[in-house]
Amino acid sequence: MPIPPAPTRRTVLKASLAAAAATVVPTVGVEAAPRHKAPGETKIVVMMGHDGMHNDVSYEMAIRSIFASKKDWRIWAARTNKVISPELIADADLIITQRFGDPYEWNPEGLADGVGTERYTLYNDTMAPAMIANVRDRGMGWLAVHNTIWNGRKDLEDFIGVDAELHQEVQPVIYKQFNQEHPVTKGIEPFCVNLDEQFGVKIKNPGETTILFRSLAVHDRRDSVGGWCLQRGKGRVIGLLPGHLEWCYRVEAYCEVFWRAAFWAMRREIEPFPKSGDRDLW
Amino acid sequence: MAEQTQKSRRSESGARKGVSGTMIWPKISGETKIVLVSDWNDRHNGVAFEIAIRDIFKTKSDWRIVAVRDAGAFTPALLADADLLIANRGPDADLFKLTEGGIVESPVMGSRFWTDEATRAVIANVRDRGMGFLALHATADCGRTDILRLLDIEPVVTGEPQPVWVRNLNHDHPVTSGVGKFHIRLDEQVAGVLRSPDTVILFETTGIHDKRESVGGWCRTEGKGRVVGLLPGHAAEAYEAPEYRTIIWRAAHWAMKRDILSYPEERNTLY
Repeated sequence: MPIPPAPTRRTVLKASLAAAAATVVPTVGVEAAPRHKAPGETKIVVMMGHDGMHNDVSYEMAIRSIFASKKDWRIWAARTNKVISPELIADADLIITQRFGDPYEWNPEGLADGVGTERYTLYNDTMAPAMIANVRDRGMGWLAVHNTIWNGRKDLEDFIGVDAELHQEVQPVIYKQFNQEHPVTKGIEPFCVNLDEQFGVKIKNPGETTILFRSLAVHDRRDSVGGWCLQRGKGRVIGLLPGHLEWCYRVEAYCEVFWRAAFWAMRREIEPFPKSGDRDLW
Repeated sequence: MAEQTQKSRRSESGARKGVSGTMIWPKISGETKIVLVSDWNDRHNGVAFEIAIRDIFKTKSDWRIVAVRDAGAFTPALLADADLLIANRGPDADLFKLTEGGIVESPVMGSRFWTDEATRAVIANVRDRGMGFLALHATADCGRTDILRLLDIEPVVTGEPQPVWVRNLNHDHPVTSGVGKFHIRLDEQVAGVLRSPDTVILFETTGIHDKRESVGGWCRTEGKGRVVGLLPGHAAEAYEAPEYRTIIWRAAHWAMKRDILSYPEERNTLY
């Protein structure tokens, strides 16, 4: 059977929200839900895309390594859409998202003779309101990474606080003008990521948004906000636009920004970034 | 319920358990069985590779492509009736074991593919049974001397991801005949040196940034089997080039000693 072409991110925003809603697949209970948060532990839920352009194995490895020293932080990585539900994030302290509105689904399994696609979008009419409510009403933090801004929903764009601009080609990107007044970026010097997609954003409401840093694409010279943060009700949202490929996670300074961002989003006191030897996963 | 848009053929074929308990896919009469193995680590997106390969061969409805997504699930029995092995697989273990379920709290390190057992099985199936072997990109960096000998290439070196020119295509060989020189927007230009002058060079490459030139594709016969080495293929961009998709299509036919049918999307974008 011919395999239907996977949708591209460019088609995502073209699809109507109604059509997107029609593909919503709340699949609670399809796979066993993880256990509830234990007393004293921090629960982080990571929901990232895995498709022809995005390698969530790489992202998961990077994120687990950054937080490897935090032994009481439980990081739950959703490797399939089947496990994603409002219940999954109902007691989470932080969610980390890095996926666009792509309805593509990948099933990790040992051997497979078909692509096994499903129609699903993380930012559906069940999950998007749950994300907003958990941040706004319960104080959950949200680290919205890279292509999260390309979610195709106005309510989420408003909540995250930016208008998304699509990236151009993969290219070197300079991250610069780190906000020296903010604890997430204080003391961080400019750095270059060898290869990245430079998404851009326009801040919707500068009065309620703090810009953390800017980016400059080396090929096309676009200069854009690259990181920002804002308070939403009881919770905090941080947007970090680097992250298309593994290269940014090889930059120590960016890993430190990521580390601090997680603490800040959870309203925790920011601990010193551990040395690289303390971040080995295996 | 999720809408399933691509039904696996497992249930139709009656997939069975191998001796070790690992699932294998016995070939059905009349079908072509292709085993696909790729890296899935922080540098290589196995999903992108699998999607690209399946897309190239999407019109071949009687070609069954069994992808090894977790090297720990591989068993030599999978190759025993395979017509072709397509590998884009380097020396490293999978970053994670990927059969742990949909949500993972404590990940487990994955497995290496190029074990002694797997290596022996690949060589024996090519040499003694006539299985075709299409070795892409990372395979030339697999760290197995016996596989490099099968490919007839010395250990390779990689470089930064950069635009790569594919040029000097061999128009006397059916795999590359009529394919114009072309450009890959972003790739690691793997560079290698062939061991034997008898191996047929299919094309050469030039790294745009570092100006390095290298053989990029070649083919040879080993015992009853045929081997094709193609060095482009680090990321999805390589498989977007129609010329490269054509070469992969033809190489698969050639390695299996089939008549090379026209690739439905065959075209030269530049020359």
